[in-house]
Amino acid sequence: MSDDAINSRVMVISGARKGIGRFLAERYLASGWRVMGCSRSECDLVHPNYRHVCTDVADENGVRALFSKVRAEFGRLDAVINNAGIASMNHSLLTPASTVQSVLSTNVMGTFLFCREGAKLMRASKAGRIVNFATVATPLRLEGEAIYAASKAAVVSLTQILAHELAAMNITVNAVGPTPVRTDLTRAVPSSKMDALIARQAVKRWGEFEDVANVVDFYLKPESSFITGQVLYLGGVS
Amino acid sequence: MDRQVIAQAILGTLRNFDFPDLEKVSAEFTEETILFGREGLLDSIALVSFILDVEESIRAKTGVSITLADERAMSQSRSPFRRVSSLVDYAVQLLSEQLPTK
Repeated sequence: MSDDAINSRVMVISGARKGIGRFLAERYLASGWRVMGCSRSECDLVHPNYRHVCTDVADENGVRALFSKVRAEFGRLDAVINNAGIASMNHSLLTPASTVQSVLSTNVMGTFLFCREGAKLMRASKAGRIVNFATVATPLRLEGEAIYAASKAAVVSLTQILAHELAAMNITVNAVGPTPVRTDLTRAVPSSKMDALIARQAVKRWGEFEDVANVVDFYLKPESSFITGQVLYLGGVS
Repeated sequence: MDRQVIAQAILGTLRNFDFPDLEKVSAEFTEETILFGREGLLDSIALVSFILDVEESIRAKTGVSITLADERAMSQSRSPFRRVSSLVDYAVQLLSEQLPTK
């Protein structure tokens, strides 16, 4: 490995196998980052600076092992992108408890564990960036997404409080709140529902992966060290 | 687990710790040193960093990851974080529960 590669920044991305996570992994690899991705199943992304771990983000031992691997393989950590998430679209009266448990586990517990273990590693270098994933479903109070929106509201609270707790370690914690983006999460939703949702945005179009990456880029910039505890919703939603 | 090894790990972590308030720090640390609470060396923020440093130091020395600030520690009437000696005792107890008995 060259000196450049050894000195290059290191990022962990959850849910890196496909969708936005995969897009972000490829984007940051292309710009010189070393990336540790994770997902529940195997990933076919091949790059000299990419490593992948199969784990459930809500499995504490699995997450600990992942960050131990980051320490062993890369010796540092500069950013965590908490992209992994699942949705449930259903009327609350028809939502089984098992679905609630599953959504809260992945979205809240997963985000928390990655923040905690990531911050422990970043603490050593007294700098770091954590980017969490919120959703416009929370401020729009979307019917049929009570559990998903509530789980992401918890992510917003985590983001804002961790921003305070980790500020002394020069770790920033922010969130991006995407509008609907064409991924597995939105594929199963009827188009009429999506059109109605998009009509409530100030900018009435689907989000693109690049729109999300633009916000992540902003949070990761060295000049963004004074930006923390913020949630930036796309599409003019507030 | 050899108690002396853990005591040395914790005292070593204390000697290398980046204290926010150096005026309170004495020249020598012993097992009687008060860490947290009345007349303690650490405020609550510094205690978080210190606990993480101790966990890391123990992991490096023993290869075992323990979580010192677990629910049991928080619910004890006498905090294991009060003195170096109580922290050593608590860490040894956690390690003995994780390591297979010979």
